[in-house]
Amino acid sequence: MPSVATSLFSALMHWPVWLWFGRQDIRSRYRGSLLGPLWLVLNLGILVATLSLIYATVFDLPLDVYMPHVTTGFLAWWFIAGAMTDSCTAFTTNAQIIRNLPLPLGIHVLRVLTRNGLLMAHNFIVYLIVAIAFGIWPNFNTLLVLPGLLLVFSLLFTMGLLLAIVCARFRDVPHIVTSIVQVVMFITPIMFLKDMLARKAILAEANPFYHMIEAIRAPLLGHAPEMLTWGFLVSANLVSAFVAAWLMRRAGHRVPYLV
Amino acid sequence: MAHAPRWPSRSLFGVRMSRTHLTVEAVSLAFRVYGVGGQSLKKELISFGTGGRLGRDAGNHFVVQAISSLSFDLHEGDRLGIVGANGSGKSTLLRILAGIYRPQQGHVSAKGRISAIIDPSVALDPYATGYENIRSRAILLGVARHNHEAFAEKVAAISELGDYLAMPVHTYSSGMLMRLNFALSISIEPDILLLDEWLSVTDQSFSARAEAHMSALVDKSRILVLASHNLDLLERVCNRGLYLDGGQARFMGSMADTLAAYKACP
Repeated sequence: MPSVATSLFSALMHWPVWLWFGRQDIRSRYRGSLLGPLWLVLNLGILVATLSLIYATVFDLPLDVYMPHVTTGFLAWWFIAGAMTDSCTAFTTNAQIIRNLPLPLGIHVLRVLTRNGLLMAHNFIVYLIVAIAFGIWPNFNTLLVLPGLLLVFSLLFTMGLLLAIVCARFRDVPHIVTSIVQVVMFITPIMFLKDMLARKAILAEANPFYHMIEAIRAPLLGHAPEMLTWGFLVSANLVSAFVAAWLMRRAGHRVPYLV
Repeated sequence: MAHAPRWPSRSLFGVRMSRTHLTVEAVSLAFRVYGVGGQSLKKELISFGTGGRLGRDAGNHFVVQAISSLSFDLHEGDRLGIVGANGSGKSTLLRILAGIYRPQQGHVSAKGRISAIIDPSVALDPYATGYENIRSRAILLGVARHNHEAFAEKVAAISELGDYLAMPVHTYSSGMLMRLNFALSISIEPDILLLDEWLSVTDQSFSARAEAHMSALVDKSRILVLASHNLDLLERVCNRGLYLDGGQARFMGSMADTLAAYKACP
């Protein structure tokens, strides 16, 4: 699929475009607000603090286990959920650009990832505060967050392309994705721990979102993600890239008429 | 507005490899319109469930043959004027030439940097300042970073907006907004310029200078393709003509002959 590969490569090479517009998105969202994106930090901070207060009690867990878990879980989850829901509208909201400029389609998904990546970077402040408060110091495993993030980013890129194309054609799909994302938040070990599933750990391990979160969360907590998580992410990347390339080849050129 | 993608490069070490040209060979393009009756998954599922796959295309999809086997060849100095009724395929053709639509049959080859001015307000963020919007446009058009300053100065000079450029665009009057869009659109340096209607600004005091800027841009481009409903303008600017009717070339020839053919048809 040489033309698809060229198009994706060309999208990456247009980094000034997606980096700039990803930043502009955040700027325009918080224009005129005093705290700006720090509101997000505050949101996450309040969420994590109150959840920890209640659920550490409900689950009878020590706060120094539960609070870092919830913080890193939401840090990763908000990024993944935001990237997925925003990818659905990546083409439809940029219809004007798509219909007027011969730019590679991938830039719109990369813009979504930039925007959500920047938001995650802001939320990182909450993680730092929690990490310092509970004495989670960086170790060798912390470095694994880099390959973890890389695998999650690339998976979200190809999934995003797929979603963006499908959603440009079928306007119900964004709503389906929104409902799925809402449900996933409750069934994935974010607010609870995987260990609580005990012998039914399969309920987490069969959940693709668990692995995406775990690749970011585990290193931030100083653990290495399990081999299963790496294996899952690598194979999901391959499958998703293949399907996205196939769909791009089949329907990519039709996007300018669809949006 | 459109610029050619960065690859492939058309010059080697800054030396122009050959003369600008734009060749269209037997190009056809049809597209389905899904908006008719809802672009929804339900329809697909229902038609699938009822075993309606065979008849589905005729029933659900509205197919438009936008361009049918069109060919022409433009060289340096050519100014092609396109006439035709609304919906005759003028804008679609410009989008094919700009590389936005990919034709199903035939192909387009070009030598030279292509820019299309189709929608002058593309990607304008009303809550961003004039300067931010200038930066956005420069980045979208692939203007090299070291030329951003020059691009901004050019837009500022043409738009004559001065300090207003530091204000959010939503505070502009409609005349000011028109001037900004105009300046953003024409601050380009293409070899091949594709124009969907001549850009003009109705602002009394500004319109004469806008006209001069526009003419300068057109004069500088080596090849021009102009789609317009303004027959006098086409006669004045263009030397070659194409009369599109239902996506087909009803007449091709000199601009004067094309206009005569166009006027002769009911």
